Amino acid sequence: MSQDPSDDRLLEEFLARRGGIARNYRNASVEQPPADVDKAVLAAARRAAGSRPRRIGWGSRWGAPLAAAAVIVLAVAVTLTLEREPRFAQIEEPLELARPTQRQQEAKSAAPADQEAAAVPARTGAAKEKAVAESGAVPPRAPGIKTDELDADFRQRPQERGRIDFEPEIRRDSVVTEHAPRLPAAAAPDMKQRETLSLEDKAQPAEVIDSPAPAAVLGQSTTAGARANEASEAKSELAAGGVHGKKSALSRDEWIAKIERLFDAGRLDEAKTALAEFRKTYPHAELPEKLSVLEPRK
Amino acid sequence: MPATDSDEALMVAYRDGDAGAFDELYARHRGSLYRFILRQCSARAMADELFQDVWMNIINARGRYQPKAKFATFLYQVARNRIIDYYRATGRSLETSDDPDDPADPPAPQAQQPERMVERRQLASRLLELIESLPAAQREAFLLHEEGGLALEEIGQITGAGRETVKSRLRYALARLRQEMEGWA
Repeated sequence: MSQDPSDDRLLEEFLARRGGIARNYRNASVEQPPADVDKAVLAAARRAAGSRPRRIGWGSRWGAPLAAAAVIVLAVAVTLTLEREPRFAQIEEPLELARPTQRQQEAKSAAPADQEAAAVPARTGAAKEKAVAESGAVPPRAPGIKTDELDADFRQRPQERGRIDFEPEIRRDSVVTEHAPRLPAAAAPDMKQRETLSLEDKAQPAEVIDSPAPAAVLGQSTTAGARANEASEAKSELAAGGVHGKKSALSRDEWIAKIERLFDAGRLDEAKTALAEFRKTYPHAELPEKLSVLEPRK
Repeated sequence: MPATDSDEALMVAYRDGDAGAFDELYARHRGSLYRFILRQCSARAMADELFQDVWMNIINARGRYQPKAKFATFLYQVARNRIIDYYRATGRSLETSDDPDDPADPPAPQAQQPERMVERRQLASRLLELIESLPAAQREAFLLHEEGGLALEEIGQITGAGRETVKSRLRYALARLRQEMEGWA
């Protein structure tokens, strides 16, 4: 029989278990040994091997040694880690009380001690952090506190003993900054009085954030410079209203006037925002006709 | 499904006393080995007997087993030796000839049995019939590859022939099968 090149291809397919012959053969090869032969062979095998059960799988053979090795490795690793970790430093010296900043000391020396205790309202959480950060009044952390210094410091600043956030005169809506004017001692009122003061005393804005001129009064600007101030104040008031989510202390007319100024200045978005805030307080108030365009369409 | 051990690992485990390892090893090879023997025997009953003998030889030789080669090579070597013994006992021979033009050995008597002729009306049956009528060496090489899954080198190791000789036997076997199948179709 001569060799045909196609025979090589046929052989390659056969060796790769491809091709018609291999496929047909596999389809045809379905014979199996009879069950009694299976039983006899298996029984003979078991008799020869004894009755030891088979360890099934790789894990059954190597499981115990691996588990032991893993436990040992973990134990060593934990031990080494604990050995390397620094122990808690023994406090050999008591912690030092944070020393007051220079500003605080100047403020303390400038104001009468009795006025300070009553005048300065406590600070709210977020505004306090902001004010403290801005004033740079964050005290440096001392490595330790010395008890004798602590006592001395405490005795030296009795007026500040009450200057904590747990004073009963806490003003939730108030922020104290370095720029804010201090109210007279008699003006340490409750909430209701304070609102009244803020409405009547136009020299004192109810909330000031980033206010460049604490004495600026809304609605009284006539000059360009004053306009700039008013614009920034308006912006800060809007920001204040947005941050704290509370109503402005402006009267209705003052509020409308402010919205008009924003509208005239072309700051329509701010005017709309201010109008939206206004509507929360005065939902049915009449507006000048020109401001009607700011109203949302119904 | 548990991780499967290799044939060699199972045989070593059985050698070391794990009877369950033999169960799995037997399940893997029982069908292919049975068909390898069946295609070279005259009767199914004889194939059953030879099949059981082969496994008994494996069991008895477990103490001497060393995983130097594939377990399948070891298994089919034992099976071939048992078939040779059977042929000698019946006056037949599995002696091979490398001359492809030698007349084919007489077909296995099994192919002529009436009950088998009935079963082979279909194409697959025809193929089996043709395989069983191949020369012994070609048939053996064909079955060692198809049933045993052995490579050319392993077939040569079992049969005592070289790789190219095995390749040649397979080539001729396939050519003959194709020719006969085309003619039959």
